[in-house]
Amino acid sequence: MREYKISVRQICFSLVAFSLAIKMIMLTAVTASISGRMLWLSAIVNFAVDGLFILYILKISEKFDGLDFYEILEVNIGKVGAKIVFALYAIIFFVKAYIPILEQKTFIEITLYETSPTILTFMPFFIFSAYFCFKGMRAIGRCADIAVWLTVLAVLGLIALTLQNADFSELLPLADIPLTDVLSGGIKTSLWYFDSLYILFFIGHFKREKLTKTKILGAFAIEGLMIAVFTAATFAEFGVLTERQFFAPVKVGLFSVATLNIGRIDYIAAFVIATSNVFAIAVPLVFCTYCVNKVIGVDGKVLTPVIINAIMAALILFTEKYLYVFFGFISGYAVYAFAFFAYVVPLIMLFLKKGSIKR
Amino acid sequence: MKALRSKIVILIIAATTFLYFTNDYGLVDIEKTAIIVAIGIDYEEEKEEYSVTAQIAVPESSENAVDNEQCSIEGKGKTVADAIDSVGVNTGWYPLLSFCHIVLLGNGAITGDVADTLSFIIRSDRIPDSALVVACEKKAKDVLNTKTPLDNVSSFALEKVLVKDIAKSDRIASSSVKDFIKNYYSLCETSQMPLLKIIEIDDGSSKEGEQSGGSGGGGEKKKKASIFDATSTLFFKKGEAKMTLDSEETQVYNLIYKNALDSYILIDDAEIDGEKTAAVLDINEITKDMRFDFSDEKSPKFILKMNVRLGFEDLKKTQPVKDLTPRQTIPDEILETTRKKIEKLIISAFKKGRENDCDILHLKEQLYKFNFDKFGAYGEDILKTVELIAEINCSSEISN
Amino acid sequence: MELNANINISKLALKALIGESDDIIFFDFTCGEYDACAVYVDSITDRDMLGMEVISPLKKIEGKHTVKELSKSVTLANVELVSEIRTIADLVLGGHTAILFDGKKKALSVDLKKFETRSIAEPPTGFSIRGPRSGFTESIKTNLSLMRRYLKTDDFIVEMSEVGKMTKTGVALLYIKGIADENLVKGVRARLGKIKTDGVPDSSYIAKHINERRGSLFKQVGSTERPDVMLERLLEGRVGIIVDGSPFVLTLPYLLVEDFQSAEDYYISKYRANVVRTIRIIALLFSILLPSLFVSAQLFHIQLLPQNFLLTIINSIKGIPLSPSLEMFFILLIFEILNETSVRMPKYVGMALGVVGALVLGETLVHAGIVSTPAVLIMALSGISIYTVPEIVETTSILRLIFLFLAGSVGGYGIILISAFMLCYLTTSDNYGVPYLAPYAPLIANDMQDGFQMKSITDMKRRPVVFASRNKTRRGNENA
Repeated sequence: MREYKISVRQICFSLVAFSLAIKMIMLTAVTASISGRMLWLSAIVNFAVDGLFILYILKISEKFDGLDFYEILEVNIGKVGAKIVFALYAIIFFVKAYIPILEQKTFIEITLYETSPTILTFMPFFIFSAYFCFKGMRAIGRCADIAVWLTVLAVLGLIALTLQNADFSELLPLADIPLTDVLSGGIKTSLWYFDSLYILFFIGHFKREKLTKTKILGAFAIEGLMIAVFTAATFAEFGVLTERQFFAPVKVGLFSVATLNIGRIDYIAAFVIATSNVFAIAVPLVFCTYCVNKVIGVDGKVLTPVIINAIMAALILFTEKYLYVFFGFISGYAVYAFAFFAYVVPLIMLFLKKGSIKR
Repeated sequence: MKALRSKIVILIIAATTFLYFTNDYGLVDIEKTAIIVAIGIDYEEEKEEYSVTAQIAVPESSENAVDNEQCSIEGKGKTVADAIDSVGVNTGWYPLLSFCHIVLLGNGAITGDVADTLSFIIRSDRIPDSALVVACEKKAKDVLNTKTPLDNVSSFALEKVLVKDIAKSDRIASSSVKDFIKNYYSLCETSQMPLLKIIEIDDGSSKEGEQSGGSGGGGEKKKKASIFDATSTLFFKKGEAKMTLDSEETQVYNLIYKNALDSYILIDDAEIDGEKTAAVLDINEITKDMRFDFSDEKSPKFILKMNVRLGFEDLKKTQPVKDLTPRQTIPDEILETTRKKIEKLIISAFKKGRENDCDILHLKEQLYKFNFDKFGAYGEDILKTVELIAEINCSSEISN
Repeated sequence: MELNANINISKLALKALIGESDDIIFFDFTCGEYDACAVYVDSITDRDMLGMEVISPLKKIEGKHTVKELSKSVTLANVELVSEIRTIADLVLGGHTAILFDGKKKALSVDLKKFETRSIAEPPTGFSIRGPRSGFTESIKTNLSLMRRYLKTDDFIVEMSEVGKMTKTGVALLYIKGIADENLVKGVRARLGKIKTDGVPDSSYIAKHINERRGSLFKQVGSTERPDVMLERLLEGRVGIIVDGSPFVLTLPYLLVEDFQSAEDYYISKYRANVVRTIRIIALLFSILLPSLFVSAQLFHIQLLPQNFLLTIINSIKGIPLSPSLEMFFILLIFEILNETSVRMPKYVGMALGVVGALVLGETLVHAGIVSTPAVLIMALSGISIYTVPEIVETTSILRLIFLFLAGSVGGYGIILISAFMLCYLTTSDNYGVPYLAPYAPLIANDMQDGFQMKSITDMKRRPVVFASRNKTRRGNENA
C-alpha cells in the first residue's frame, strides 16, 4: 500500500503559506504597471483560471483510483512515454523556479543589505534548497503546517499597516481600464501562478477525505482573496506609484504610525514572508527533482537535488544582470508553455484509461 | 563513502571559517557610518550645482560631542546623488540615508520643476519615501544650522514641529515624499509641502553685558532664540511653486483633508452679550461630504458640506460659574461667525488655487473617480468652470 | 560445564572462572553430614541475611538430604537450584550467593544482592513547588517500586533484560498493555536487543544506541527523573526504559514539545501553566536568536534598528576593538567558561568565583573598552534564558553558536536560512514512527490539548492520537 506523503490539510496550508508568499514581492508592482488600478482584478482572473483547473484535476483524478500522475501516464503511454513527459515537466518546473529565485535574491539584496556582495548572502540558499528537494513532498506538507500561521499573520499584519494610509478611492473608477489591459496584466504575471501544476503532481500522494475538493479550493480562494486585498490595499496606499513598489512587504508598512514612531516593525512581517519564501521558491525545484528522479528511475538519492540546485545556482550567478531580459522572455513566451503543461496536458486525462500498477 | 563525506564536510567548514575570518563582505563599520537624519538641498543657479547639507546624528552622551555646526556636512555636485556622495568623500564616512526623515528644499531648489531635485529620492530606496519634504524661505543649509531651544539637533526640532501628533495636526500640511510625488503624477498635478520660516524670539533669559573700560555699568543683552514656523503651505503645479496658503487657510485645508481632533479655531471678532471679544473654539468633530452637482450642465458645481461640532476652549471674557465649562453651549452668533470664517477661508483658498492653476481640492481627480461618465465633458477645465459651494454648518457640542 | 560432586573440584573450577579477586569469598561450613561452601562477593552481598537466613538454618540440619530438601530450610523466597558452573559464576558476580554441597551435583543460589544506593529524594533537575517530591535513584529495584506504587494494574508490564558484556546492566522496558502501541514496543525491544557494548554506566548510553538518527544534534529520547512524569508519559502511550545505575529514566517516542512541559504545569492552574509555557518558548527564542539578531543588525541591517537605540549602540561601541560578531563570540566564550567553571569547581570556591567572574569580569571588560554594554546585556539575557528549558540546553547552546556564526557571516538572511533548514529538518524527522514536531507538524487537533499551551486536565479526555494507542479514552464523562 502506498505511503501518503502529504495530507489534504497540508496541501491547503501549502497553498496559503507558500503560494501566497511567492506572490508578495514583485507581483503587485508588475501587475500595476500593466493593469493599473485593476491589478486586483488581474489577480482574481488568474486565480479563477487556476482554480478551475485545480477543480478539474481533483475531479478527474478520482477516476484513477489513487494512482499518481506518473503512474497514470505509465499505464496509458508506457514507461518511456511517461519519462518523456516528466522530463518536459522537469524543465517546466526548473524554468518556473528561476524568476521567483532571482526575485527573492534581489529582494534580499536590496532591502536587507546595502553593501554586501551577492555570492555570500544568497548562495547558501541553494544548500537549503538541495536539502529541501531531497526531503521531497513530505517536507512541503510538514513545513506548511508551521509556516501557514506565520505567513497569514504576517500578511494580515502588513494589510493592517497599509490600511491606515490607504485611500481606497484610488481604485476608482472601475470602468476606465480596458479589459484587454486587465487580461494582459493577468497573462504577463501568470508566471507566479499555475498552482494547479502542484496539485497535478500531488494526486495519488494524498489520501482522499470528505470534501477534499471543497477544502483545497477553499484554501485556494483564501489565498486569492488575500492577494487581491493586498494588491488593492497597496494600490490604495501608493496610487500611481504602485508600479515602482517592487518590494511591497518593506514598503507598505512604512507610513503607519507605529513604524514612524517605534521603528521598522514592518520588517518583522517582511522577515516572516522572506522565510516562507525560502520554502516557496524551492517548491518548484522539489517537483523538478521529483520529475528527474522518475525519469532516471531513482528515489531518495542526494545527487539529483544537489545537481539541480547547482545548475540553478550557476544560472542565477551568471544571468543576474539580465533579469529583465529573462523576465521578458519568461513572462512573454514561457508562460504559454507553462499554460500548456498546466492546463492543456491535464486535459488529456479525460481520454486516458484507468489501470493498475504493481508496486 | 563515509570518509569522503566527512572530508567534504571538513573542507566546507574550513572554507567557511577562512572566508569568515578573512573577508570583510563589503561591510561598512558602523562607526564609519554617518547616520544622516536630515538633508537640506540648495541649488546654486550660477554654478549649476546642488549643495546638499547632511545633518548627521551624533549620540548626545558622547564626551567628544560636537556642536551643531559640525554635525552638518556639506557636499556639492551636479546632481543631488553626486552631492551626497561627496559628503562621503569629504568625511570618509559612508552616508546612511535610511534614517533621513526630513528633506529640506532651499529657496533655490524650489525654482523650476522640483521633481528634478527630488528625482534621486524618487528613484532610490536609500531615502525612505516616508521622509517629509519641506520648502524653506531661506537656504536649507541655514535652517539646518539654526540653533533652536527645542532640541540640540535642528532636524529633531523640525520633526517635533512637523510630525507632532500626525493624526491630529491641523496646522501643518505635512507631506511625505510619497504623497508629494503621488500628487505630482496625479491628474491634478498639484502637490504641496509646508513652507518653513525661521522666527526669532526672545528666549526669556538675559545676561549681563561685559563692562567696557571707563564707561558706566554694563547693560542687559536679550538672548534671541530661533523657532520654526511651518504653518504656511506652498503649492506646486507640475512641480513648479505657484502659490502659498497662509496659516489660517492651511488650517482649513487640513480640516478638509484630515481628521481634525483637538483642533482649535480662533474667532477674534466673536460677539457675546453684545460685546466683541476673542474666543478659541475646540473642533471636536467634523463630518464632510464632497460631491459634484451637474444639474446645470453649463455650470457644474462642487458642493463641499462640512458639519463642524465645536466646544468652547477659551473666551476672553469673564462668565458666570455655571458657564465656565468646555461643554458650555456656544451662542449662535459665535457659531455664525465661525461658519462664515471657515467658508470665507475655504473659498479664498480655492480662488487662490484657481488663479494659480492649482487644483488644491483635487477636483479633477474626484471627477475622474466618482463621476467618470462626466469626465470627458468637464475634466479638462473643471478647475476653471466649477463653482464651489461651501455649505458649512457649525454646531455646539451641547445644543440648547 | 556441570558441577562436580567433589566440592573441592567444584571450588577450584569456580575460582578459575570468577577470578582471583579478594572480595570473592569462599566460606566453608558443615551442613548435616555434608561439607558445604558459600561463595559470594563480599561487597555486594547482604552478609547479615546470609548468616541469619541461609547459613544458620543449613548448619542446624542433621542427617542426609537432597539439595531440594536443603533448599527448603533456607528462609528466603528466591532460592534456585543450579548445576552449571558458568551460571553459578554469573550469578555470584551478579550478587547471588551460591551454596555448594560436597557430594551433590547441584548447588543453591540465593539472591542476597545489597548495593549501597541513595535514598529517594527530590530530583535536582525536576524541581516543582507543587507535586510529589520523589525522584528516581540509581537502583532499578527502587525505581520499579516507585512505578509499581503508582500503577497497580496487571496491564503494567515490565520486561527485564541485560545489556553490556561486562556490566550486564539490568534494563527494564516498561509499558501499559492496551495503551502502548504494539509496534512501538516491538521496535524498542528489538533495538534494545541489538545493543552490543561492553558496559552501560548510564541510561544515556542506551539512549545513544537506540537513537534513530545517530548524528543528529537534536535529542531523540526523552528522559526524566520524576516518577509522576514517567507515569503520565506511560499513560499517554509511551514506553519507558529504566537502566540500573542511572536515575534518568528514558521514554519513547520523544516529542520536542515535551521538554517545554514541566510536571508542575499539571498541578497548578492551567492559566498560569500556559503563561509559563509561553515564557519558556519566548525565552528559548531569546536565547538562540537574540545574540545573532543583534550582531546581524549591527553588521548588515543598521536600518532595522530604531534610531534612538542605534545612537545608544554607536555610543557604547565607540573604541571597541573587536567587530560585533567577534565581540559576541568572545563574550559567549567567557560565559561558557564561567558556566563550566561553576559546575566543576569545588562547592566552597565556586560561589565566590562565580560572583567574581560574572560581576567583576563583566564590569571590567566593559570599562576596559574590550566589549560593549549592550553585548554583555544581550549575552547575559541569552545565557539565562537558555536554562528555562534545561533539558535541551546542549542543543540550544550549539544552535546559538551556529546562528551567531551565520549572523556574523551572512547576516539576517543566514538566520532565515538556518531557521528554514531547522524547520525542514525537524518537521521531517520521525521518532519510532512519530513525527518530532507533533502535534504542530503534522497538525493534530486533539493533541494540541497539551502542546505549547494546555487545557485543563479534566478536559483532556482522549489520549494523544500521535502515539496510536488502541485505548483512546483517558477520562470518562464525569457528569454521566
